[in-house]
Amino acid sequence: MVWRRSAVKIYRALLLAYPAEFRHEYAPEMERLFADRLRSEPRLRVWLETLADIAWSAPKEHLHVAWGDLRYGARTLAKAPAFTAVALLAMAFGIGATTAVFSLVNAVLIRSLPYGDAERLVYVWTPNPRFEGTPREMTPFTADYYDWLRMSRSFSELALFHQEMLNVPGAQAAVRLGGARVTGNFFQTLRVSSAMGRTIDAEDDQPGHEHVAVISDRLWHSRFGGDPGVLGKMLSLNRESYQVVGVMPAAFVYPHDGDFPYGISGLRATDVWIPLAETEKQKLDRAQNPEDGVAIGRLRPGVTLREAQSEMSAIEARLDPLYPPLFRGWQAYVQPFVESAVGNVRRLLWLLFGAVSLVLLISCSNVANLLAARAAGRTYEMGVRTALGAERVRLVRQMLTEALLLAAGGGALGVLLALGGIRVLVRLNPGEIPRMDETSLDIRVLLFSAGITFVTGLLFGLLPALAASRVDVTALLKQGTRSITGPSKRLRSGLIVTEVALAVILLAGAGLLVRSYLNVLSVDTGFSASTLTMELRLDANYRTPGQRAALFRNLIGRIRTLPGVQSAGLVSAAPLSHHESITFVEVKGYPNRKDQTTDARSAGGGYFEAMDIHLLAGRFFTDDDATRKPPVVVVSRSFADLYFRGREAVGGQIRTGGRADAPWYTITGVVADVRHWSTEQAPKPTFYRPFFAEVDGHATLAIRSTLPPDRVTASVRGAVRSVDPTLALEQIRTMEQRVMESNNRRRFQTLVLAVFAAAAVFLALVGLYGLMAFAVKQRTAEVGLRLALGASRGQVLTMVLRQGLGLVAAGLALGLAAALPLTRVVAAWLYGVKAEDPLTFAAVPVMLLAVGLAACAIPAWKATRIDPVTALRYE
Amino acid sequence: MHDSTDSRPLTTQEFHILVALAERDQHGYDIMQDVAARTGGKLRLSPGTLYGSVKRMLERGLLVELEGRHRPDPQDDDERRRYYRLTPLGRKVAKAEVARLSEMVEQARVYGLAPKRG
Repeated sequence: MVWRRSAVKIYRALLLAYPAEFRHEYAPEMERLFADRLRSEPRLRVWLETLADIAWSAPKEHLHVAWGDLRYGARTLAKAPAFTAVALLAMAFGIGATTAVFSLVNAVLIRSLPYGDAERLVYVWTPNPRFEGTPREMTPFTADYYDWLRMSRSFSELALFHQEMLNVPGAQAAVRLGGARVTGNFFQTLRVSSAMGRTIDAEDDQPGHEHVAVISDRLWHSRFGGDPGVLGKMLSLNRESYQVVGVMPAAFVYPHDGDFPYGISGLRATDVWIPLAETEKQKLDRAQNPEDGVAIGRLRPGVTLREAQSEMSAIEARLDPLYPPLFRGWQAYVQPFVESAVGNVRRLLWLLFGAVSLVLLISCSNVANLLAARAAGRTYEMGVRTALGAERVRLVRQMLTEALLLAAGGGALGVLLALGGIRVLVRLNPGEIPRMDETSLDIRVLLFSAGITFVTGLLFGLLPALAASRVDVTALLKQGTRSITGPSKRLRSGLIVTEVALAVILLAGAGLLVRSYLNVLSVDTGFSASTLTMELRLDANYRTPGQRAALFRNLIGRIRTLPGVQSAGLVSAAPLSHHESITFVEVKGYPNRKDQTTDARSAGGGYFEAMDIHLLAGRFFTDDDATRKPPVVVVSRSFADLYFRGREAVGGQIRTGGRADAPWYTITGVVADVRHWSTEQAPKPTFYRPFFAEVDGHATLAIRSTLPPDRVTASVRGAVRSVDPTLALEQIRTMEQRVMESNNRRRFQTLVLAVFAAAAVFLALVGLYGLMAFAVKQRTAEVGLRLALGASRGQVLTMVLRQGLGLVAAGLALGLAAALPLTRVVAAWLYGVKAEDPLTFAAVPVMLLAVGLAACAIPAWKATRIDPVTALRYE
Repeated sequence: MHDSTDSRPLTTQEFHILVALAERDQHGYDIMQDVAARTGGKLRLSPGTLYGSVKRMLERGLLVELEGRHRPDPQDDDERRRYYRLTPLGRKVAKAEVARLSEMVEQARVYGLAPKRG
């Protein structure tokens, strides 16, 4: 009957669920049985029982096959312990390194931030293209923020905060903590709640109500010993009393360094949040003494980033005319919070991930190579099994199981290795990669490792398995010997060529980065590395410029008399401290452009001497220069070169602010250029005003001494205590340390990439050695014959070396061709070298050929030691 | 991979197949019907289970597949089908299983869990 025939056809299709071997053996019988039952029993019952039967017995048959293969695989692997150990180690290394880097990517880029729905959070900055060289991330003025609140529709919440270091009296000296003055909706915007008590609300954010504080979990423990009755206790901040109303969970330390650029640098955590409580006058001030802060908002549901950006641009364009003409030109820049927090490290991490993936590929192709070599040795076994009727699918499946078994072992070892690798990575933390300390193995990382283990096992087991199972049985049986090399020889050579090519890419990239790093290290910073610097911030007790100047004068005078101190001076901000000040400048006798800006600093007497900044013309400041009429300035060499080309800078006149009534300053000296912004950024034209001409509450001390830094620090601390015991020194470090910090990121990326490149070269070397050793062994008879026929040992040596170096050359050609376009990926990280740097691209082939020669030398030497008589008997 | 020292206990299905083959050589459909008839239709061997069991019993050497002159008389032989026969080992294993089962029943009888022998 027709229906029965189609039922059997359906059943035949369902039988595909069984392993091939089983199916080929029993499918006709099973179909017959099924047809018989259909004839004698109710159709529905037969179908239901049959479907249940397939669902139950098909997986069972697969399990039986897999279990058999596993036991067989484990037995064969155990019989070759050296092979197994090498393959396991190669796999473990590749998977371990990849897992470690992925866990870093996971911690920094993937794992969610400790704020609710961080994807909807944005910063609103106010860039001003008129001020050359200023970043886009300029903090908006408070007045703008309050107008945005009224005018914008894009945000469900928009908060403003102001970062501030706060003095807290400690047992011996005052401690300085990271603090933030926040608007009443700050915590609501971030969607975080307190662990205890409450957060700051709109009512606190009023002048007169602002003496409440929310503290961090860390401060709660360090300051209050984790006292559960902390709520309601008083805390003195900058000599004012605040009542603790809440404690935040341990994970919440926002804002900290890395959350946004140009925040307080090196700040690991914020410990205190207090209300901003702006007065009505401050909320409107755009001209007198406008305040600014960081604006963070939460996009209203359904509002896109683009919509928010265009709305804010329009609003800012309407607000801009409210500023005095000289300070106009403000725009709005809406930046996703996540991009700001991880944007600048994202590319670096993906670079590292790409590099480690290449290492994984190389170590896996080594394993594939080992498997192929073994498969070649097993050609005879495979041939015999094929002749006995084993199907190709069966052989492939068997070998694949073996490869997956190896991969699983390697993966497990790799995860253990990754645990160590993560520790090393975290220790290398350049300090400004956010959340890097939190790198750990979590379930996502483990799933990732399991995934790459499976995929690499599958990929690199399949290649040799397919090659090895393609056995020409007739040829094998005709020849009747075991010396057949198998069809996998081309695959193996191909794998080595690929490995060398991948190693070339990594080596070229690492070479360029190492060259860049050396270039950065040899940069002339313009200052002495041994100078000790430290910052001092005065509190609200020093209200008038006169009070502040008196304190600093008193202090610097005491420091100069300390033992070992050769020179000491004050500056508004040390080089590489991330504090930069830019001002409009007008130069007499120069065709001044509109909006002409320059870097500016205030430096006191002794500063240039303490920093060993060379005097090129004129004279340095003295502390009396502050009161000199007409006022004087010192300019940098690049300032003199730009504005006084072909004329004498000393005696020249400049003025700031661009107002017609601004006073003219006379240049008294020209000093060498200093790298202020970073070690890698070319110095900008800079002028220095006398420090005591206008003293604000913050200054940096620069001290040159014959004594070690910690002894100087201790005596300076004593001097500070003697003038005011409530003041605390911060950011105490030598200029060498600041240079190190400035180079941290580059050192980290160079080191990691160089390690990966070294690993890649090593793995390629091991692979090449393995292949050559095996090839020589395989060709023992041939070499013996050649030697018997009169070939010289030298000819044999050349033959083997030519074969090995031929593979290296092919890999080199391929790798160099790929590396040239690929090094553009690292172009953004290069310093003083081009992506197609000839030196690097010449050194890489030389290095790899040397390594290749080393890898081939031992097998080649062994080939010359072959005894023709033994070799021919071997056949 | 014939492993006759495999001491894995028999599954219910395998035991029933051994019993079915104790009387005479049979092919798959016969075995299925035999088992169904003896168990009053309670155990109905579906193709996957039946041949999965047969495969492993062949591997353990409990059964052999009949070839050439061993096959049934031409008038009874459905030549498209495969016939199976119990090996001496298979018979031994079946007997041992029966002995084990009866011993269990005997023990249960002592404790009154099974009817006393008439």
